[in-house]
Amino acid sequence: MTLPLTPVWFVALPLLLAFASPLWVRLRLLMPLLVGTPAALLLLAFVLLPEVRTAPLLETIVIAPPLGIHLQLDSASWILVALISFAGLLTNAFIWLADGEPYLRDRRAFVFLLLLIAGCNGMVLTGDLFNLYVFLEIAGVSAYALSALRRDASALEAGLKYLIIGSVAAVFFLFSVVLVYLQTGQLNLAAIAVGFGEIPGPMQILIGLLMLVGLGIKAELFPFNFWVPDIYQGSHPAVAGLYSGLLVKVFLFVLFHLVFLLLADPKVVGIWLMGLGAATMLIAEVVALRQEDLRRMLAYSSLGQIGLITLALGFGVEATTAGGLFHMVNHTLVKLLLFLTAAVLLRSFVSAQLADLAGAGRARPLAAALFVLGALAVMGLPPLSGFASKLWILKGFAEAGVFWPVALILLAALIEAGYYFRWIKVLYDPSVQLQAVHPVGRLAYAPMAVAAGLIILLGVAPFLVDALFSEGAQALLDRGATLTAVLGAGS
Amino acid sequence: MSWMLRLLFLAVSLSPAALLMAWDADLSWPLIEGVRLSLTLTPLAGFFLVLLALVAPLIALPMLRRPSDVPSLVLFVLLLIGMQLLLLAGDFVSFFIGWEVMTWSSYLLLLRSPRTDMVTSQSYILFNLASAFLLLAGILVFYSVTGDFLIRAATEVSRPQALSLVVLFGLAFLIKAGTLPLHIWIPRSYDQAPDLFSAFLSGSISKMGVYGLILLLTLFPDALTGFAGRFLNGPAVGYLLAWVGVITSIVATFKAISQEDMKRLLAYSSIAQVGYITTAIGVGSSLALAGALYLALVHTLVKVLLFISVAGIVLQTGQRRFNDLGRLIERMPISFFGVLIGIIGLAGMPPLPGFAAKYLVFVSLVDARWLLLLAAMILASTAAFIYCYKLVYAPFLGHANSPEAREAREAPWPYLVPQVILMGLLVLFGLFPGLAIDVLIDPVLVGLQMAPIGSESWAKLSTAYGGYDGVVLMLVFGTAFALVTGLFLLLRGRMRRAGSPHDLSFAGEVPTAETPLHYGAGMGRELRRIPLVGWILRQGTQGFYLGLAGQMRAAAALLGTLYVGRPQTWILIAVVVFALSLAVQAMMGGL
Repeated sequence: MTLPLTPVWFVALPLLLAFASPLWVRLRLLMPLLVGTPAALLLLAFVLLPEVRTAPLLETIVIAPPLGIHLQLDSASWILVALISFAGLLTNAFIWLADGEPYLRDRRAFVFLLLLIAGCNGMVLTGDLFNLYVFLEIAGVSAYALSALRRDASALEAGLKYLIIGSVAAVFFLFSVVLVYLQTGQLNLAAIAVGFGEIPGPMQILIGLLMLVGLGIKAELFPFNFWVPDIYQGSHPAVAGLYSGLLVKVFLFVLFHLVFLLLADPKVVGIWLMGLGAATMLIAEVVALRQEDLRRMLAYSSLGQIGLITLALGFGVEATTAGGLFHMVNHTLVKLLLFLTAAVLLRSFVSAQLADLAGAGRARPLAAALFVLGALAVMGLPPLSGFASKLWILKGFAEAGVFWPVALILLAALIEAGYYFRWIKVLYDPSVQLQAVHPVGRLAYAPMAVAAGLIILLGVAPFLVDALFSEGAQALLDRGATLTAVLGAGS
Repeated sequence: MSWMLRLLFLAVSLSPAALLMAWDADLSWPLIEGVRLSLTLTPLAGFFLVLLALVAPLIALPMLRRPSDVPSLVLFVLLLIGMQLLLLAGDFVSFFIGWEVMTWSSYLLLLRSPRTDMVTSQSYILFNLASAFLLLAGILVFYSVTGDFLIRAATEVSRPQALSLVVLFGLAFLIKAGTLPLHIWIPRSYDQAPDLFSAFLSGSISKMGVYGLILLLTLFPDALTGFAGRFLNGPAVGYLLAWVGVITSIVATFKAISQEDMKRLLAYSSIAQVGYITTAIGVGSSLALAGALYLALVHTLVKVLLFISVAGIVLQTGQRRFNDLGRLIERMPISFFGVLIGIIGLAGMPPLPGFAAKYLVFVSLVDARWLLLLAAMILASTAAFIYCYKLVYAPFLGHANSPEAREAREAPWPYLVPQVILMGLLVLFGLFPGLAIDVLIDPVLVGLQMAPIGSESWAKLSTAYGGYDGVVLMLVFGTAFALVTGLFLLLRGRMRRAGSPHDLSFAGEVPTAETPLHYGAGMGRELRRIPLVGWILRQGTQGFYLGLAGQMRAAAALLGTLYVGRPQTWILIAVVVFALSLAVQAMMGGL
């Protein structure tokens, strides 16, 4: 029997491997599979790339018409799928190689990590609104559980809080799904898109608002993101890196995918989202100025970058969208690097407080150097990758002659510099002699080095990948092409 | 560190020179869609590349002394690469990349000093990043006007666009150059930076702001006169810039006089000198730009010389305050001559080339009929004599005021070789003031499509308002110096020497060990009693910036209260926002 290489594997493989976990424990394959699965998915993504670039791949598994699972892999979702696999690979490799906390290395963590990947892949790929909800819950539940894996008060508190707020978000989203189904009788996204314009205006607004609140909570947009710092601080930094690097990006992508697909004219909604993005960015950056805990500071910084990406995608022009997608990738790389650095520092010095990390630069020179690299990249300083994507976004705004986002983005970057450089200065404080408490193996640095290498490579030579992001932006923005691809030319 | 790496480092420090020799083609490659980087060498950039090529190896040499600090060397290499990219940039994106690489690598170098504190490092990076982001905003406006990123004269710019360009670029470069009131990061960082890196900060990095300002002139064909017409015989907008420059130099000069610390004094002096350059750029005529470039050349040579001499003193004594030094002339004679030549150049006295530079600027001010500015500038440059004198008197003459100063030895040779080379260069340019005009400055002026200054021979500096012969001048001063020195040495044997500083007493007062016997002690304190000068010295912008930082932190605290740890609040806010937006929509759209 030959196994056809189709997008189904992006969901099926991690699901199957996760549910067969008792077998892997017995065969002592748990850790190799934890790393191997995302690696295989990444490989699959690259194998499928040439095909995706010519035409989107569609896959329908019919259960009983019209019920079925539709998967759609186009240039935009390919970027996300590759990103999910890569982020999973780096984090899982860190968990394996760092040889650290046992609760991240047992069967439960294995199951939840793979389920998270499966859920995220599913959300990005699905072409069906109800499946979207199902995958959202899969990803959500595994994220809550990952938060609470460590058996102590702060982790359990974070997990419980995450569970509560995440369920509320899911309920909001479910309501909107129900309303859409009642109004259009369809669950397939393309079919809904065709019929969405005929829904009465007020109902459109209600559905839109329900979706916005549901996905806004998940995607950490401003008036809905108050939960973020608590959860990031309570979770293990490597897991927090997954939330910031992977989960949020997926929800943001889903949000904009829905906006660009369902609405014939996304201009008005786009402006509202840009406003939310700008507010998210500025408020988070300002609040981050006073953070004394590394994980909390990174959480706020992550919110700031999410705001920036929302601002760029909401504008809905090809240059800003392509730049926004590129920035998603860069931010994932950077935040993974920074959160893994935080994990190393946290293990070395037991604390992630600013005061306790003074002088850490000499006790852990490599970790501090990687932190500096990540900080420079997140502020968008050349020649690192954050610069190329930020330049792309800013160039898109300048081309359109719209300068208020440019001013806000630059102001936010300046505020961001205010706290990142404060941390850098403290890490290299010459007056304190700090001793590392716990050792960290050299191998733990390997995933971080890979991320750092990519940050430099994409910063120096972004022309290697820019075509991918342009095509991704076109795929995301071109509603007509998606509809034609799914429903056939006649619709 | 192995010899290989040290040699490699020296080779990299020579790369600006190599680039200058070997560059003959333009390079270009894509960055992202619609953005191409292109490298080219314009005459203007070539001038600043010459300055970098002179300075980089001279500072690299003493940096190699053991025990060497490997991260510093790596960062210095990055800094050099960034600055070369900045100078070679043919488009604004590569210019910005170079600018930013320079900014963060110099910040990280600043952190290598054990003396750098949080306020200094934060003000350094925030001011420089503010400069960089203003620059980026200007670049984006420029892009929206011209449609690409190439550095070239922008034609067909509407007035508001031109105004925003001038404001954004102008502020960016003025921050880097450090004019008032944007200078506050300079004294602290030049003071606390690693001693040799201070030389580079003052000698090379500050010149990039100057380069930017001159580049800004070239963006608009009729740059300064285009806006508001002419005032007297010069551009009216430039008049404003010129006053900014002159006020900067006056205030910074008085601040420099009142300093008690060698490096801080040099930092303020550096601000004052860049103020002169800003004034000259404001005048904007061919004479004035020649003066600005000449001043940039002299200031680079002089400040690197002085900072390296001071670095040698700090290395050997561990002291940097005037009150703790003294009598080093016998122990560190070469450094003494370094500082002596340096201050003569700094004060703009003949026969060294500082005179030629200031002469050109003065003449250009006369030419523009801006006589009030001329008077103010002469005031600043005369007052500068006082701090120059302090700089040579306090460490080298008088009594040794600390045990370290009494036992110091001459700085090691890697510090002395650059000093000797720089002294030689200063004397060379002093002998041949036309040399710099002919070889370095005229090509730039021709490249900017301005009238070259020209010189009959290398020995002569000649303008429409007269000139002088450097060789003759040098001979006169050299003879006078030789005569006075000879007389002093002859008569020296007959002078009585004080045995100890405590032998000295007058009016019934006998100084105790705590009494500062230093000639320059308390100089700044007395200065504050002069009416106008005292008022100037008491003013400062630090309060404003600290207040701004405080406001930001207060805002952070206020907004931070939104991020509470209670899930019920989160849900409440989400539901309330949902209901409110629905209600608003209902009222607006009639749900």
